[in-house]
Amino acid sequence: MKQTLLGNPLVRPWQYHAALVDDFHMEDFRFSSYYICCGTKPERDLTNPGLLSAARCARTNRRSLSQRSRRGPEKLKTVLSNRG
Amino acid sequence: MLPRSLGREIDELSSQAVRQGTICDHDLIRQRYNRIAAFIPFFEYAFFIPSGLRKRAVDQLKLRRGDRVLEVGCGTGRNFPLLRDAVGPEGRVYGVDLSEGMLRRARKLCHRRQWTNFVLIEADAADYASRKLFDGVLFSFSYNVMPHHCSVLRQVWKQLRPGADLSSWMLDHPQGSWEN
Repeated sequence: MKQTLLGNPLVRPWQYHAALVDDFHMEDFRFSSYYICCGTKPERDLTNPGLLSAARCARTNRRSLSQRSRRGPEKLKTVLSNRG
Repeated sequence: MLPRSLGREIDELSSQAVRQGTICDHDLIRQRYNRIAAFIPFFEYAFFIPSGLRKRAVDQLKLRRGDRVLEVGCGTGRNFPLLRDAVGPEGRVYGVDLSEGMLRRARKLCHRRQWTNFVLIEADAADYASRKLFDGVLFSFSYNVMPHHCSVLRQVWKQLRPGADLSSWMLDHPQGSWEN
């Protein structure tokens, strides 16, 4: 069972959010059981029809993001800031 | 009380949706969340949700007095006190949820606290469109619960003011067995 009341573990919000927002960052809580991811919508991006294609690209291309749980959020932040 | 087989049916449909990338039957999702609406406060303890997590997620939105904020999948309104504190009585809080059972409890909360600046909408977040842009959008334990999260994000993104913040918090699932 992949879809549960606790969500689909195969869907990782940070992959989508990181592709869209500026200054993306994450925080983890309770030994990384929970996390918050957030960021700011870019001022330039009034309407972006390629929104989700960008997110999909991020999902498929960013190996570093898909490996987040092994790296931990702190290292992810570093990875993302280096990319920027 | 729903028959036990219905729960299995919902799970099966959910799994199919994940595998096929299709949208689940809204009625089944609605029924599922209507059924658990009464237990939401217990989930807070059952899942060891950290006490400061909700506040931190709301703080990340950097809301100011008078702002308009949208909570996608607001449920029974667990974040409403925090959002209300952030935008003040002059701001507006919009909550979208598919489950009328959840929203009924959220409305009761607003009524009990005499909050008049809440707008609760029973709708699929992928279909909901506001006339004005929002100053912040919060997904609280809701993003990866939605099988059509891409459509929801697309819709929400259109309604988020440039320069405004998007925040979401979730339970992280251990890697490994899910990948197979």
